[in-house]
Amino acid sequence: MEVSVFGPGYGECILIHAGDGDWIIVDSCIEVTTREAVAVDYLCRIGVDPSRAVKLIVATHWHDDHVRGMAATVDVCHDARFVCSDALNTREFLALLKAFASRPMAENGSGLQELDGVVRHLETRARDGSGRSCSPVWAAADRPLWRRGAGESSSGLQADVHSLSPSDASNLAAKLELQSLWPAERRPKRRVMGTTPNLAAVALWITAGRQKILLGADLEETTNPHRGWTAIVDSPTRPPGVATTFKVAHHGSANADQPRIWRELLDGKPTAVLTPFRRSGRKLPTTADIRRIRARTSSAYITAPPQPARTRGSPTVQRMLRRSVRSVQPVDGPMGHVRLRANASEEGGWRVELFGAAMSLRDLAA
Amino acid sequence: MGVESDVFRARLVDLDRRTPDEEAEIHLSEVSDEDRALVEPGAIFYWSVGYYTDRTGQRMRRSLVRFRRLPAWTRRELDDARREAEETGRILGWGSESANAARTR
Repeated sequence: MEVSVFGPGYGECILIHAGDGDWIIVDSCIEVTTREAVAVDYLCRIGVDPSRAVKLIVATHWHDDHVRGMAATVDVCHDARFVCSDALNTREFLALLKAFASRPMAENGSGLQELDGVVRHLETRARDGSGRSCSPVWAAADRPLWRRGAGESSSGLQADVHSLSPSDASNLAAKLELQSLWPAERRPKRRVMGTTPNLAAVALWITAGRQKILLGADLEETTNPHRGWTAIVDSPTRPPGVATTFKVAHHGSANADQPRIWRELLDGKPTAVLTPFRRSGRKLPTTADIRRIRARTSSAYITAPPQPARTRGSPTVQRMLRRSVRSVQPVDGPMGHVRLRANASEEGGWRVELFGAAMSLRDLAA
Repeated sequence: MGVESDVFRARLVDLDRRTPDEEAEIHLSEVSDEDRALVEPGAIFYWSVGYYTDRTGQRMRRSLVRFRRLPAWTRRELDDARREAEETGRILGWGSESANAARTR
């Protein structure tokens, strides 16, 4: 079994090998230099055919840093079902995609354009007459998304994917928030800015054999007990057990932290992995976030440091830029990859490998 | 992305794809008076930086920020988007049919 977390500084992508050659892709990011989707590139490099092996592609939410390259990924992975938050399951959201994606406002694209690309691939498949179901699978609290029974596996290994969020309350609130993004007639066009805080993202619980994995997406915490992480921890219908691996929510930020996650959803010594976020004047995780996570587990890893590397490019342009700006720094950087591998017939025992910019949280100054 | 009293924060994308995306806090003094009203979250601008040679052969540094004047949304564009969404929604089983579409049938 494998959990691979990729992140270049802005964006993340997680690949899960659920055994028996079945892969799940959660979110998408791109290799900065090639602009290629990292998931497809990785699977091809390790000799896996993504068109057959990938069973599920999950977009935990529609923000740019979680969906870059997703349309190309969906295009290649013919056998995969596409999963997204039930909060997006409205004609109004589809209309928002159509309005903004067919009238692109910037060359570098946006999360809405990327998701519109996904929708177009699904539509093409639906029209090809193969009879396959191309409708998205809608994720919400305590909902099964995919199952491989023990009898369907050559190794007798059962695997399940459940969504833990959004809760009913978050689902409704997010639908109302999305309606507010609809452009007004005669108003100038603007790039759509993502809404915050993120309470409708899809957190996932994945089981394969005896291994359990919690993927926190960008789900944040709130004082409303019916939303965010408290709603998950308090749910009487969530899958049982504790996970030995945790993709820390929302880049380790304090507003995604709920101490009960560590006490009630995770094993006492979990392996934690996070990705950094460098944008909008924010750098996550902060020094305080790093200290807090290190206090909770001695086995924590990050795909790249939160402080960006120095800007490269033409020295002349950089010199001239510096005269006009208060600050300038790159948001993307070299791709980092944290790879965890373990035997699915045991609990825990993850073997950690670090590639590129990835590092142990112990080695980050805090 | 954001505007403060004397700077605005923006994502910079190298259109030649030679450097990764950057984020900068740019002095508002770089923006011409005519464009100042266009500096809002979500606005798009082009920033040309480099040298140019004028007609007399003089080589000069140049930094030019130009905000895009995007047209306003029209009723037709918004109606087209809703119509496309209804068709895609029926094909993919995405969302319930909107009350508006049901009324027009």
